[in-house]
Amino acid sequence: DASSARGRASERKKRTRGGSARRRERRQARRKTRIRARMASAAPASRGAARASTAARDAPFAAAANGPGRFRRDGNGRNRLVAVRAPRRWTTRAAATSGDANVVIKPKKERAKVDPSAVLQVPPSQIRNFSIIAHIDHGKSTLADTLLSKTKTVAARDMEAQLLDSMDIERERGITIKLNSARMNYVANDGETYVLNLIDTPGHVDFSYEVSRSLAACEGALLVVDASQGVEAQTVANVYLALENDLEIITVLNKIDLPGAEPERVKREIEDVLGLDTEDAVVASAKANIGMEDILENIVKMIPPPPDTGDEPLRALIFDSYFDPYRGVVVIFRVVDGNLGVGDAVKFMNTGKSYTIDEIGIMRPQKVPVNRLSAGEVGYMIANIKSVADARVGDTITTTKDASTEPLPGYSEATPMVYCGLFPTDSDQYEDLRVALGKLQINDAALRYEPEQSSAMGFGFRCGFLGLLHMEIVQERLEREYDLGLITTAPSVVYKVYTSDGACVDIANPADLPDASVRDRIEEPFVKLEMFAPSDYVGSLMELAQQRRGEFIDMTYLSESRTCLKYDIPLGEVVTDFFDELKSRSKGYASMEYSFNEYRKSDLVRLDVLINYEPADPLACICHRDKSYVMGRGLVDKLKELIPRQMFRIPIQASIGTKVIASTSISAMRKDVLAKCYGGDISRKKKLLKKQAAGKKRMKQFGKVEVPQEAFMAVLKVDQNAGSGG
Amino acid sequence: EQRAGGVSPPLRPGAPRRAFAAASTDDTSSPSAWRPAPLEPVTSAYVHLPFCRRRCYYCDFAISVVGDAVESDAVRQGMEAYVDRVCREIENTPFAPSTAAAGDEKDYPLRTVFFGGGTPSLVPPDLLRRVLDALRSKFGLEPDAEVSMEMDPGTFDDAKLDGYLRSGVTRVSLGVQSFDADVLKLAGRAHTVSEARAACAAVAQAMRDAQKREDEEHEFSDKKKSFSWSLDLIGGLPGLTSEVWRASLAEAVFFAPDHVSVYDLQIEEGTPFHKWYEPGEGVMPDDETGAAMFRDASAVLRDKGFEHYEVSSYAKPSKRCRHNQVYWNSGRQGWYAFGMAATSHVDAFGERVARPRKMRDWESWVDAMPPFRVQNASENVYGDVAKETKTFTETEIAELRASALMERLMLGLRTRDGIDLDLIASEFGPHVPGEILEVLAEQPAGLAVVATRDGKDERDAASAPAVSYEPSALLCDDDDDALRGSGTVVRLTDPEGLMVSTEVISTLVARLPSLEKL
Repeated sequence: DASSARGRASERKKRTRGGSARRRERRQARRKTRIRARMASAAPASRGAARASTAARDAPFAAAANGPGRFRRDGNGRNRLVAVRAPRRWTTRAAATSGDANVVIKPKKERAKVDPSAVLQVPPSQIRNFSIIAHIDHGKSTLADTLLSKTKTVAARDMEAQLLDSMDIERERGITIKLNSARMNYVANDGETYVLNLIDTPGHVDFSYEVSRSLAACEGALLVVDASQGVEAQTVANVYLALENDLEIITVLNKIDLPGAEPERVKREIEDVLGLDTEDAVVASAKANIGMEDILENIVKMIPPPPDTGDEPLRALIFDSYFDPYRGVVVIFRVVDGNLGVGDAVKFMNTGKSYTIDEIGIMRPQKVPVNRLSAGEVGYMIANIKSVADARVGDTITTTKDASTEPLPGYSEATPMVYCGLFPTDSDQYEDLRVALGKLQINDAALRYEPEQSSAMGFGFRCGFLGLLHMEIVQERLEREYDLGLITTAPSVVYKVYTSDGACVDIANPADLPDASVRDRIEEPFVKLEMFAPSDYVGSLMELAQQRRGEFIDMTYLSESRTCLKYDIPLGEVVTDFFDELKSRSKGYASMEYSFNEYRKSDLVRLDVLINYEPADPLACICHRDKSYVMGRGLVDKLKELIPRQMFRIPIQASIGTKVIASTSISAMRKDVLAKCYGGDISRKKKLLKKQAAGKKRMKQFGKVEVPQEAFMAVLKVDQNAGSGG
Repeated sequence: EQRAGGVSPPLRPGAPRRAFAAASTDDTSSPSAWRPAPLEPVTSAYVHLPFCRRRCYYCDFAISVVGDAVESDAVRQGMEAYVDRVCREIENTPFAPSTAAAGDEKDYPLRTVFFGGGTPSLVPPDLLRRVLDALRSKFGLEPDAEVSMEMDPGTFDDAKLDGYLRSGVTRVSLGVQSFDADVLKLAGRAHTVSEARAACAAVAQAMRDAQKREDEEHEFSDKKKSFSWSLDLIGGLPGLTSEVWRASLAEAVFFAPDHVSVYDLQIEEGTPFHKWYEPGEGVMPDDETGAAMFRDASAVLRDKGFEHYEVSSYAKPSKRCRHNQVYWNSGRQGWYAFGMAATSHVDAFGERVARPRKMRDWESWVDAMPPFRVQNASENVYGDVAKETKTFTETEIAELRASALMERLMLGLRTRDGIDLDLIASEFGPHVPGEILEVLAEQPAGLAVVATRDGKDERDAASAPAVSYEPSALLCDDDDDALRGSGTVVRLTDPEGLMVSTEVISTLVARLPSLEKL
């Protein structure tokens, strides 16, 4: 099966060789019309506008790409290699894995000349910058790894599974959070050596801004689709982003070696749903090393080289930055125009900060210093930057002298969409938590936090995140890397509350919601939600979306058996257990993606919870009036389950304002005594007591009532299915 | 630490009559100076006799099932081998450090011995006597020592019972468990109700006779043996209803035992009950019924003149089980232990030494013991003597101290005597009683009381701030230098406080600042 796939691929290669330029033009034209039509129907106004602006921006880019290629020359007018001096610890690896023959290692202690032969220098026409986009689990990271080993960028013995996913959490969850990039040398069938820059993209909707900036740094993208699963929600979202950035898309049907692979069906889906031509789609398996040659050849042939604008004023696009405790912020960028090198004074156009470059280099994927980087190249720089907030993704680097006047488009500030309270379980850890958040923020410009205090929870922080995954990751890192015990309150979106005097306040904490008497209206964020699922589950998913106040927009059949559902739905309804419900209702087959749409007025109320007649602020939530009874009932019942019996009866109530809408109570504990015969062996009893005490320590006290951690997430666990059908 | 604004005067102020000089109390504010108070010389021993005819459905003890052929030669030989090995273990066991430090070991003969099981009454009297002889020759045995043994109905007749008493047993703990046939059957007990009744009558009679004999023979001795027996019941068993339980209690009282133990069924992992039952489902009494049973037992037995002196123990005046009280007083008193799975406690640091739970492992454990050498006394001390003089890090000390305090609270609050705040202050620091009172004050009313030792002044611990603590007189018995508090004790109420003792104690463990290092 594999060999025949390869056979087919090489046959196709032969076919394509003649008149490939013409074919490409035709293909692009076809693609664009199809996509325009599709996008117009799918996401009318906003997408159209976004597209217009990107098209305008990329116009000069595209024009240059078609111009004659120019070599970069040194003072003597020869093509030259940039001299590189690698620090000792990585020279060996660089030498061992470099595709070049004449590698010289000269370890020196002081900062010295860069080893000239460590990095191959080529003209822009021989550079290809590309990303890999895929739905989660479709094999993006494995493909990246295989490309790295195929091009001998990384020796097989140094391969660690999922090389580009460097965080533990990434490897465990199989998702990419932090970006990485790698420069590969590839000798193509035409005999030329090409430099391929792979720019990895984070694989989650929470980071779609970062994804779009990564894509903006490329000329092409590999669209990886699982040959048995087909198009999923994230595939579509990522393809949109790639098209907005006008990238050449190479379709890769991955996991072809698996028995369930149906390349033909999936190709049809890609054509129908995404409007992409699949004639040149590569049938591959990154794991089984099938089709990798074809992919590399297609990258060289189909993806346009970057425009040669090395002589223009410097403009480099930051698409990632991270904090290295020893070196400060490492900025990863793509040089769009001009060039830059060690010692240059540079300015970040949006933040306005200026720095002098200490080190500049490329990633393989380890850092390899060079002297200069020029238009079309991808690299990193270190310039004594203290926080990633000073080197924001999307910002433009230019030189202080002869600065570019126009920053690259597309920059935006991170706006947290989801907030929650983070409180240390042990109040002594408040200071540790503050320090840890500060450290995380150095490396995560999207993370917001400010002190929050409540009588029950003590001191903690209200933190803002890009989305639920971002929230989970931060929590997990705080617990794992900083060893903090945390209590998290249920996530809340940001509401815009208009008071009767016309003022508008952002409310990210239900407890802060102004009193009903001074409120004029509340607006909440709505998102466009797309759910992809086998048709069998459509009914159940529609029911789900309706329960969560979703408004049906559209349903399309991807194939006879697969459907795409579109809804306009409040974000507040999505950041609950929505995803879990989606997965359980579809037996795991459905996928979803959403993007912010707009703020709209809703009839919202604050549901307060009273435990033992005392208001429990961290349990309050904002919900729609129509759903408040169902929520209130569900919430008190859930709390009854989650709060352990105590030595007295505990009434639990849910109220809107002063009106109690649901109530229940936890009866008093009857008996808790260990009256067993034991021959002086108290170790077990001691253990039991310690365990029980440890459980108590993790609880928070509302008045006299001890409330366990799980209760603060109760609102997420409320069974809404029982309630109103919308 | 001290509760401010105390309206009423402290319970019993007073200056210490005599400053005491325990190593632990020189400077209680400095953790590194802390050392556990020394144990009294060890005068108690537990002997595990693990044989049972079968395993009851709730049992997770280390036992050895011998089947119904108890009288067979094979079983007899097995028991003999076990008993001989126990004797060897006794022989090779070094003396406790506190005993060794006190001088001649013979000055501290055993005061209490407890044969637990298993079913000790399966072991023939002559074998039991061998163990007692071994104990006597090694440690000495007070003439009026309390020698308890657990017995099961249906495993003995009058002659056998007489044999035990003549071998030196003075106290019988009779495992009746229930007077209801269905309950016994559901629990997998090997005896019937009629056997239980016959056993009660027989034991009661035998004890009366033995006491009479003793009184006649040693009329003028001040070391006269005291014979007594305990009737043991288990509450919360499947099939129990409030009616059945009350009937069992009434019948228990009818036999006029000196002592009643009311244990509470705990469903342990790995037992058939764990597989079969959920609380409140089917034949399992629910929480509410379980609580009612605890209350009933307390009310009925106290009404008949029993003192509820520990969560599961009731005794007529002066008939408390002396051996079990050693366990609850473990900060001061230790015990030896012999036999499979038995747990001893002989060092002041509170370390329990548990013997292997499997017969074969225990056998090799005993066989590997170095022989006891009379010549070289310094080698013959139990446990790690070096520990007593070792320097600990601050953290270790903090942990040891917290662990000791936790033990004191968890054992003390199970008893009628409660915890003596003066002793706690002297051993763990003057701030600790305040901490305890503060946590208790937050609990619902009616669970704990603060009282003077003589019981004259008693207040609800929840009625803060009326309760304050000030150290009262700390006395030193001139006889043995042991500390005796004169003043304030804290204890749980009966039955409401005792019934939720685990909850109260775990709250203390969770909230007491002094236990943070646990």
